[in-house]
Parts: sequence; structure tokens; C-alpha cells
Amino acid sequence: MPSSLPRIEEIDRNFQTTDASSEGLKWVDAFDSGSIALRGLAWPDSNRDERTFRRLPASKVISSPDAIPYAPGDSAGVFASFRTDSCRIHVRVRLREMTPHGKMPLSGTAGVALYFRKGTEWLSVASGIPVAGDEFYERPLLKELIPEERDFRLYLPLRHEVSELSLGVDEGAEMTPLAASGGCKPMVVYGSSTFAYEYPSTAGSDWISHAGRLLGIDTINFTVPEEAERFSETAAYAGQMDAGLFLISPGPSLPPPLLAEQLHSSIQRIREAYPGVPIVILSPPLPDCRILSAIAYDAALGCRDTMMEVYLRLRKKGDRHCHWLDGSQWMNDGSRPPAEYLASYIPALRLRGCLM
Amino acid sequence: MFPMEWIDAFDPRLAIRGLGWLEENRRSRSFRRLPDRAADALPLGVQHLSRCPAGVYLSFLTDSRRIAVKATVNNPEQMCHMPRAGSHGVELYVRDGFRWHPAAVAYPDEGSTLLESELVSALSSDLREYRLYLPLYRELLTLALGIDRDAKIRPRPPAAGEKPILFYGSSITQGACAGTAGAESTAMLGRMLDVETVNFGFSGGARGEPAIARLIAELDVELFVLDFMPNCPSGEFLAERLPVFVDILRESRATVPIVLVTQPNYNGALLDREIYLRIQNKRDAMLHFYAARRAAGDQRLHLIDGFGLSPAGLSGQYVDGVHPTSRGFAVIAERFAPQLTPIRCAMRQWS
Repeated sequence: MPSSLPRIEEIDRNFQTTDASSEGLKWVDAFDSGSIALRGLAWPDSNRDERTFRRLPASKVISSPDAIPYAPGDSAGVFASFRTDSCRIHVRVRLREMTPHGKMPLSGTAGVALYFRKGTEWLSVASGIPVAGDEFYERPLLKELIPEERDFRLYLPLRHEVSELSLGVDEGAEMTPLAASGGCKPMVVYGSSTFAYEYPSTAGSDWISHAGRLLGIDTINFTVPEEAERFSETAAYAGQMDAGLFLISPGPSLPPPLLAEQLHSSIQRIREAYPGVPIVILSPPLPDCRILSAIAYDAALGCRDTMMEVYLRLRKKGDRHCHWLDGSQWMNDGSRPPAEYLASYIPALRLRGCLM
Repeated sequence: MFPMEWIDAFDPRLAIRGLGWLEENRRSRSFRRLPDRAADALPLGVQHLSRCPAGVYLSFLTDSRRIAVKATVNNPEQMCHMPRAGSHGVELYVRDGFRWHPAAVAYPDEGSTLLESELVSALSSDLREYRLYLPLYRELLTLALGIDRDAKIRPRPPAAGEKPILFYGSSITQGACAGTAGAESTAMLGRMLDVETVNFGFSGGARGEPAIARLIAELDVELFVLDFMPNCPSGEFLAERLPVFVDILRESRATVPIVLVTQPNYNGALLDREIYLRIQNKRDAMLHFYAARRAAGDQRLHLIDGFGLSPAGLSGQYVDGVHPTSRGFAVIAERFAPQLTPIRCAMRQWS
């Protein structure tokens, strides 16, 4: 037997980085608003001015003791939206820096994913995956297409900051930005990133993006890592966003009394700014360890029950636009993501005229 | 905290499942999926990948209140498409009635080849059945399980007459790009069908070589699943290799069912005509072979259509349009299992 295990790319060509000639392509900058629309950003004008894909652009950082100490620099849930008749689509991405992650592959943390629309469905069609250590990558995504107009979404990395993004299309191809989805304001999700974008293997397959495609509405992922999770402070940002619906998705780690206090105060802050906007509280999934540990199970249920109590209190006070969804049946191994669950619930809000 | 007892993976109190030649593994104290004696006849890539214990697991029952693991893998390098939890890590499952639940995952830190972790703790001291799945894309050099010193532990005996199901295939069979060690489809099918599975998936190297067929034919299994179309470069190549492969199996295993699986339709095939035609060409070659052999009387040859197992374009299904995510594997296993069950039932009626 040979002594050392070679890199998988040397054994299996399916893992090799594909090269293709970019001759005859024109490169379109992602901030070229005449060709590409950037979605999933709460303040797209500020992003454009600053030429940044950060979910929280520098000019929007609140300088107050209330401000969350963590500024989301990654581009989770952000996508470039465009229509083109090009026979080829390539992508160039430059990352600010590259850091490894134990539970997520580079394809999700630093890669991009292309979807195209077929009727009412968005289908995943290609990925651009960097090589470890390379902060710049150029990848052919599609080639030899029949030249007809199609709608595309290119989702950006979930865990890295993108400093440059451009798309390569055929020299003579048309490229236009797509309008916002659904004819309503976006759904803003804030709370813990733990179940929002820390596990997916590809950009665009996080449950928030998935829910947006299923529902045909734009989504803004404003979840932040657990260690920075302070709802009342995140709500200071949420109160500045022009949303059609707020979905609050906290993580399971806050002790119930603190969770109750922060959840309640954050909802109050949103209510002050937007009295009639629906707010959906989504409790977190029960963690795997609940199977064996009564302590972990009780803690997870305690978290869920606390959120339910906050909801009931708000309803009792007359907040008819507050809703609660039980996320405990949603498994965090990805086997039962909440996107389908939401997809069966949110339309009911929309049909009742609740979604603004 | 009380000290733990560390039990070597080859200790008879643990059962190692998912290996075809367990006695040879015990002698060499390795988790290699193919025997060293066959190395010279195998392509280099298959030799390398056979050292990764994809689909292999420790099976045991214990009443320990804690379970820990210590292991060494051969290479710390991170893969681009796969998290370390899947390529380098181990995953513990626990049985609850008829269901298996994921309980814990452990993997080496970045840049490290060492893994040491308390997987579960503060359990009640009930006797439970566990499976510890081993890394999918790294060679395992050492492995020990830690339990409370006063705990009981014993291997889970195989059911009377139980034989494993053998899967021979590509990187998808091997488990690329599952997020955790037990989240690839052969392991999932093993849990769903409550049967031992042997994973002979070899990334990029499953091309139906006669040497592999002769090795596989040595094994006394319940059925063979041949899923190597993705690594065949063309329909013509497959049409040449597949009959020889099946004939070799049939020479020594005349009555064992053989299940042919056609290639899934990759995401790229949705828009890229070249990819679509290449897959169609190979698929047609397999369908022709299947139809001809059935017509010739081989009623124990079966076919499962990969197009239905893994539909192209679904969000979160593939990492790169080719290799499934954990969710993609779950979809495959859920669609695979009900198609295997009637084949297994029919076989029992015949025998």
C-alpha cells in the first residue's frame, strides 16, 4: 500500500477546480446597478456607496452603548439577481481573508452558488468553490447554454467577507437586474446564526434563503453568532429596516429569564417603530444531545416555553400582529429545515393581508 | 471526575462492522476497506481511498454514563467541499426503539491529526446500543473508546443469518460530501433497514475493474449494489466493463441479487447540454445491459433509477452540483430504502 494519502483532487477529477477560458467574456461588477441587483441587504444604497457586501455597512453601525459589538462582515443570504441570455456565466470573487471552519466546508463558508428560475421554482445549478488559502478565485459556472433569457441568483459566501465580486457573461449578451420578489417588503430574520447559516454546505441553501425562494419573497438574514446575541441591541438595527415581516429566531443558549427579558424588549423596540408589522417568534430546534441528556432536553424545552410565554403575554396585551411558531420539531441536522414549515405558514399571513 | 477506561477498537468487547475482511483487519490492526494482499491489482486511487474507513462503525452496548473517544488520523489537511466533521471526524448514534439518533460528533482541531473528546456525559446508567461511525476521507491510525471504569460494555451480536449489503460505487457512495461520518447514504440505509452495510465507494476510482469484482465476489453478502456509473467516462466504457463485472460476481454468487443503480442527474445537466448527454449516454448503456440480462433470464438482477433517487436542482441537496450534502444523502436513503425492501423480501422467499 502507498504510504501517504494524496489530495482528493489528485484522485477524483470531480473534486478538481475547473478551468475554462474566459476569452470573449465581459466582466460585470456586482455594483453595476444597470445589470445586477443586490438583494438580501437591509441598506443596499449604503452598501453601494461603500462598495461593500457586509450585511451591516459601516455607515449604519450604531455608535451607542446599545450597539451590538459584532458587525456582521459576511454576506450570508446576500445574492446578485439578474436576467441574461448569455451562453456562459463565470464568476470572480475576492475574499477579505480566509478562515477554516470545522463543521462547514469552504463551499459554504467561502463559496458561491448559482440558482436559476424554472417556472415558479428556483433550481440550484452550479457552485464556485475556492481552494483553501486562496482569497481570490475565478470559476466557470455554466457553459454551452442555449441562448435564451433566464433569471439567475448568485448567492454569496455564508461566513466570509467578500471584497470584490464580478460576473462574466458573453460579450454580446444582455444582462439586466431583476426586480424585488413578491411585490412586498422583505422578511427580516434576526436572532442567532446558529441554525441560520452555520451548517449549510453551500451558499443559498441556508433555511432563510430557501424559505425566501419557496415563498417568492426577498429575505434579509440579520442573524449574528451566538456570542454576540443580544436581542434588544439587534432590535435597534431591526427597527431601522423597512420590513414586511420580522422573524425572530433566537438560539438555545440564553437562560430563560434573560431570554424572556431580551425577547420582550426587542419586540417592544420593533413595535415602537412599526406598530402593525407582523412579528413571528420561531423557537429553536431541540439539540441532538436531548436524546440522551435530560438536562439538555429540559433546557431546550425551557427556552421554547419561555418564548411561548412572551408571545402569549403580547397577545394578551392586544398585539394581534405577533405570532409564535414551534421550531422544536425542526432538526438541526438539516433533515427537516424550517423553510418548508414557514412556507406553509407565511402564505396564510400574506393571504390575510398581514404581510406588508 | 472518575477516570475512564480506554478500550482499543479491536478489543472483543467492541464489534467492528462494515469491513469485508475483518480477520485480516484484526491481524494488521487497520481499518482499511480492502485487503493489503490485493493492492497490486488495484488502481492507485482505489488503494489510497481504501484506507479511509468510510461506512465502518463500532457497534456496542454499554451502560456507561460517559462515552469518550481518542483517535489519530493520518492527515490534517482540510478538504474544500467537506467539513472536517465528515472527512476527519467520528459520529456517535444511539438506538431508541427502532430508531437511531445522532448523539455527538468529534473531529480534530484545524491542523491537527489528534482527536480526543468526551462525546456524551451525565447519562442515566441504562444499557443502550450505540454505533460510532469512522472518518469518511481520512485514514484512521488509532482508535480507542472511553467509558466509566465500572460500566458494562459488550459488542452487539449480528442477528441470526444476517449478511451485509455491499455497495460498490463512486465518491457519492463513499460519502462525499456528508457533513458528518454517519450521514452518508449507505450508513443511513444500514440504520433504516437495520442491516450491516459495507461501503466500497472510491472517489473517482470506481470504474468496474475485474480485479475489484473478484475481490467483492469473495464476500458472502445479502446483495450487491453496483453504483459506479458516475466514474465511468462514457456509455461505451460502461457497456464494456459492466457485463464482465457482473459475470465475475455471478460465477461465485449465482443467486445473490445484484442491484444496478443509474447515475443521478447532476445539477449542471439542467442547463448544460454536454453534461446532460454524457449522463444519458451512460444511463442508456446500463438500461440496455439490464434489459438484455433480464431477457436472458437473470431475474435476480435489479435496477434502481438514480434520476429518482437524487433529483437535480433541489436546494441544499448538493455541495457542488455533484456530491450530496447530508440532506442530499438523507433524500437518497429515504428513496432507496423502499426499493431495496421488496428485493430483500423476494430473496428470502426464494431461499
